[in-house]
Amino acid sequence: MKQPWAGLLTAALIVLFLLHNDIWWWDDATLVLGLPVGLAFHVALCGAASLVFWLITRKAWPEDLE
Amino acid sequence: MTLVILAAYLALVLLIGLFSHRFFRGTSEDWFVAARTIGPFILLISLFGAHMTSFSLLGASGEAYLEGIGVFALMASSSALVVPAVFFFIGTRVWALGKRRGYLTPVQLFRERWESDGLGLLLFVVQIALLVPYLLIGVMGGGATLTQMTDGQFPPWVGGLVVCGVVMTYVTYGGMRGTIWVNVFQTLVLLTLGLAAFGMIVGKLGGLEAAMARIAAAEPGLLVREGHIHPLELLTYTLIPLSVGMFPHMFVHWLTARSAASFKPTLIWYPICVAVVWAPSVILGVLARADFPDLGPGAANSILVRMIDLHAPGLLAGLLAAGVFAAIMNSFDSQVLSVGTMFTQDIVRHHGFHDRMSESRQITVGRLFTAGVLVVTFLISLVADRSIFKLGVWCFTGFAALFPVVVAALFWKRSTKWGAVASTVSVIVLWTYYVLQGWNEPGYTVAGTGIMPVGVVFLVSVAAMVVVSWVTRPPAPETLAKFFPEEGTTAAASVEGARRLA
Repeated sequence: MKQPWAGLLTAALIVLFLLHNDIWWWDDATLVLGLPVGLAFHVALCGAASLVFWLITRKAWPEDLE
Repeated sequence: MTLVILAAYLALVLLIGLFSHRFFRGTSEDWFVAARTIGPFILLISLFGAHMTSFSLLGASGEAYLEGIGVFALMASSSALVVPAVFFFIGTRVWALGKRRGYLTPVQLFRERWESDGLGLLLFVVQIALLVPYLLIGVMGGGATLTQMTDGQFPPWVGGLVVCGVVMTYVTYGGMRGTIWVNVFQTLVLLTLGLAAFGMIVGKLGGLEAAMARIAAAEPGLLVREGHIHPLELLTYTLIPLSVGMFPHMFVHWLTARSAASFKPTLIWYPICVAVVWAPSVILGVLARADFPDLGPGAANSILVRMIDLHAPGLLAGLLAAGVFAAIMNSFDSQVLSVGTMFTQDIVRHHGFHDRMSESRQITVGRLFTAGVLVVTFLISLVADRSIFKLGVWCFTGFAALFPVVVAALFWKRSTKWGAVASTVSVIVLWTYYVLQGWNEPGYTVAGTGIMPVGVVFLVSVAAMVVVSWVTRPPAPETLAKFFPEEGTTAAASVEGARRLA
C-alpha cells in the first residue's frame, strides 16, 4: 500500500468493522425507507464498504504484484 | 410449468458449458485454471457465484423467518466487509505467487513455502475432509429442491442425479473455462431472479413500507436483534467469512485471473452483490410471517417457495426453481473441480509421477478424478443422513480457523512448517470437540456466553502458529527468497537477508 492513503484506508476498514457491531440499534424497530433501522444500516454498510474498497483500488493498490 | 422451465434452463447450462470447449487450448493450465486469462468482470461474477450457495436464497429467508433481520448483519454484511478484504490481502498475493511459480492448488504453495511434503499431505486431507460435506449438501439440496417444487413427483435422488449429471458433463469436458462460463450465466440468473421475485411479491403485498408496517404491528420482535442474537455472537461471527481464504475452490478461482488488477472490480462490487442477493431474501423471510405465522425450523427453509406459490405462482415459480439450481450448481461445480484438481496435482502428479507428467495425461487424470468425485458424492448422498447439513455449517468454522496458515505463509517469514502443523492440528482437535459439544444444541455458543466456537478455535490456531514457529527452525534462506524477494535487491541479496533472519 502507498502512504499516507494506506494508513487512512486501513483505519477506514477498522471503523467499518466497529460500526458492524451496532449494539446501539439492537432493540430499535424504527422503519427507515420501509426497512427496520437495524437492516437499513447494514445495507448502507455494504455501500460504505464498496466505497472504501473503491478508494483502495484507486489510492493504495500495490503495483508490485504484477 | 416448473419442470419445463427447469429442463430448459439445465439444457442452456449444458450448451454453454459445451460451447466453452471451443476455446480450449489443450494445455493442463487451461483445463485447471483457464490459462490464467480471466478478466475483471468475469472474475467478479465467477468468484461471487462460486462463493454463494443455495443458502443465500432458501436458507437466508428461512433463518430470517425464524430469527428476524439480524440474519443480514450476521451472515451478509459481515461477508461484504471481510471477503473483499481477504481477496485484496490474500487473493492478489496468491495470484502473484501462483503465476510466478506455476501453482494450481493451495497445497502446492504450502508445501513449497514450508519445504514439507508431510505438511502438504496434512493440509490436503483436512481441506478435502472439510469440503466433502459441502459436496453432499449440493447434491442432497438439489434433490430436496426438485422434490419440493414438484410436490413430491420426483424422489430426492432424481434431483441429485440431475445436478451430478449436468455438472459432470460441463466440468469434465470444459474444465475451469467451462465452469467459469456456466458460473457467470448462473450467477446472473441468480441475481436477476432474486430481484424479480422480490419486486413481484412486495408489489402484491402493497409495497415495502405497508408490508413491513404490518409485521411491525404483528411481530415486532422480528425487526430487532434483541432476543435473537447476542452481541458477542455478531462480533465473533465476523470471523466466519475468513473461511474464504482457505476454501480450495476460491483459491483455484483466484489463480484464473489475468492480472492482479483484475481483482479491482471484485473488491468494489462484491459488497453490493451481497446486498442485492441477501437483502431481498431476508426481507421476504421476515414478511412471510404475516402469511405463514407458525412454521417450524424444517418447514421454514421452504418459506421462499411458499411465498412464491402464494403470491406469484406459475412462471415465477419455475424461474425460482431455475434460480435455486443455479445457486446450488455454481458453487458445487467449482468445489468438484477443485477436488479433482487437488487429487490430480497434489497426489497423482506429485507423489505418483514426481512432478513429471505430460500435459495430456494431467488433463485425462483431472477429468477422471472429477468424474469419480461426482460419482462417489452421488452414491454417498443416497445413504447419507440429513444431519450432514448440520456438519456443513460447522465446516465454515474449520476453514475460518485455518486462516492463520495462509496469512503466515504469505506475510510471516519466521513461520515454520511445525508452526503450520501445530496450527492445523489445534484446529482438528478443537473443531472436533466443539462439533461434539454443539451437535444437539442449535445455536450453540461457548459456555452460553454468545461467543461462537470459531472465536476460540481461531485464537488457539493463531497462538499455536506463533509459539511453535518461534521455537522451531525457519525454512532455508533460498526458500524464503522465493516468497519474499526484497524490493530493489538482487536475488542473491534477498537470500543473504533471509539467511540473516534464519
